[in-house]
Amino acid sequence: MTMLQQSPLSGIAAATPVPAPRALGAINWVGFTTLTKREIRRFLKVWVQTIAAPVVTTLLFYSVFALALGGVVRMVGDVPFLRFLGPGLIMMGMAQNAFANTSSSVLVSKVQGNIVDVLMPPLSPFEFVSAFVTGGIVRGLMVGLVTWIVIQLVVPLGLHAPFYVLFHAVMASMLLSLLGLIGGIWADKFDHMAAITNFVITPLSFLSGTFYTLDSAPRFFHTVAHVNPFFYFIDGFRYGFIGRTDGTLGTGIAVMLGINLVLWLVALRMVSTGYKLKA
Amino acid sequence: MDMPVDGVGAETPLPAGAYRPDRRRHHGRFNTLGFLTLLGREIKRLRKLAMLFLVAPGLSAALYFTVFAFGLGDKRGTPEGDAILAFLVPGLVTLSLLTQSVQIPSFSILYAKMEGAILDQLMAPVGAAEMLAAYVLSAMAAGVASGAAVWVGFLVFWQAPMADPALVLLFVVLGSSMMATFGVLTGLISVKWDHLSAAMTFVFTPLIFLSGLFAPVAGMPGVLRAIVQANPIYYAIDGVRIGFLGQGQDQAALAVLVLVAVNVALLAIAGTLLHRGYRLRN
Repeated sequence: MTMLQQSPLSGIAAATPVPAPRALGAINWVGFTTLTKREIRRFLKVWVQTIAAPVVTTLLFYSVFALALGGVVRMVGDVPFLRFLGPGLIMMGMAQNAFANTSSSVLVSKVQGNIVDVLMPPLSPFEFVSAFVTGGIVRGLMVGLVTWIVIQLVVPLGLHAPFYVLFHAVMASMLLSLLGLIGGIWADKFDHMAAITNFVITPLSFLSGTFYTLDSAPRFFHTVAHVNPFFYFIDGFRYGFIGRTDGTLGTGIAVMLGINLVLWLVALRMVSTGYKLKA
Repeated sequence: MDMPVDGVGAETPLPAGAYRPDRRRHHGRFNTLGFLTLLGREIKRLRKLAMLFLVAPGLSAALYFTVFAFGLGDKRGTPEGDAILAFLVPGLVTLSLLTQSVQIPSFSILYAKMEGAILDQLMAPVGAAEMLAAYVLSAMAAGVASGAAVWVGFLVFWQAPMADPALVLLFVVLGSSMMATFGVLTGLISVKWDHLSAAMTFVFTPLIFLSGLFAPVAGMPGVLRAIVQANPIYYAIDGVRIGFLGQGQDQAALAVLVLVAVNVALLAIAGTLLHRGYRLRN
């Protein structure tokens, strides 16, 4: 009698134990490392476009600007112009590629519809943002490292304060990765992204004191540079190489930390509310 | 006895699109209607892309300009006037002209190939000559519009008149048609977007940059000068600059000769590939 009242499934359930839900802990490390690996492999697979192309472009800029601006052995303060120019161009390459990595990854996923693959898994907003940003930082650092090695072979840049070099490289790549992530989430089509790159990122990186020292620019461009975060990270990064600065290093570090913090909060908020991601 | 026209008088009217020998279209060796139709479509594409090829190049020219003007610092002025302006402005105008001329047709052809829309023009009675003419002329129009936009923008800084407008026009036409044909070839050869961006990054950008655009070739070391002078783009940029500044006309003849030769060779190659349907009909 009791046998008949039991549901037919209970026998099976007894035979095969119910799998316990996976315990993730405070941070889903498996999820985070998986997404990070995806983000890194994504750009490494097309390394000709993502590493080699930016390095070639940067070196081209370097040779052209060196030819045009440094014809006679020119000095910026007591530093030869070529040593002054090198770190700025390396930083420009890093920043633009960190931005390109996160923005294109998110936007391509959105346009192709495979963004659900990263929205469905049990990833917290923090893990989500960290994984994307790590991918961007790794790409930025790789582009910077390769460019630095090549330039170093021709023009020894010197290394005044390695810590400043590393700190500014990581902070700048992080800042641009976050901007790229936010931009990628906001943009609906590739035109939007192209507009951000053409009208925001490129002007900011050009008007940053990469190519000229502020002493030689008119007053107006001083103001422009000082409200431009690119100025601070290029200046600090360059200080790490040549030991000379246009601005105040402390202000730069504070500005970068502040902007990074704000961008982290914005990105986390966007991901947790699902703004333009879970629509 | 008159032939029935438009089905009038026929026993049963023919269905729409049926073969009508009396209405068969004839065209001579060059299908003008086909050419104009394709040209019209390319120009309509351009209107939609205006932001991309007018505003963006204008902005980047302004950025290059700012950077160079301040980068040179106190070396900027010369007793004769602002040498940097006189040298850079024609170069930056030509930079924009050449970059857009090469990008527009390569993008258009590859896009049509990727989307399968290339079929529309392969089915139509449009031959290699019509296609080549339509792509090259529309790309030249885009290049000229873009260069003109940059030039008008620069009039704010530098009001010096063109010394020899006819010479400027000649080199603008020769330079942009050369780059447009390069663009057609790139579009034909490319199979995916990676190929197109690789061609831009590893071939055309270096060619355009290492062309005496930003620095006078006279001041370059020997090896580099030889490289620059082997680059056909150098002659286009140099020619436009001669026309703007009215100095160094003795070199103009050589530049014209080089550009005409390169144009003829490129047009012949592109025409042959289009005729054979290279990477179009497979």
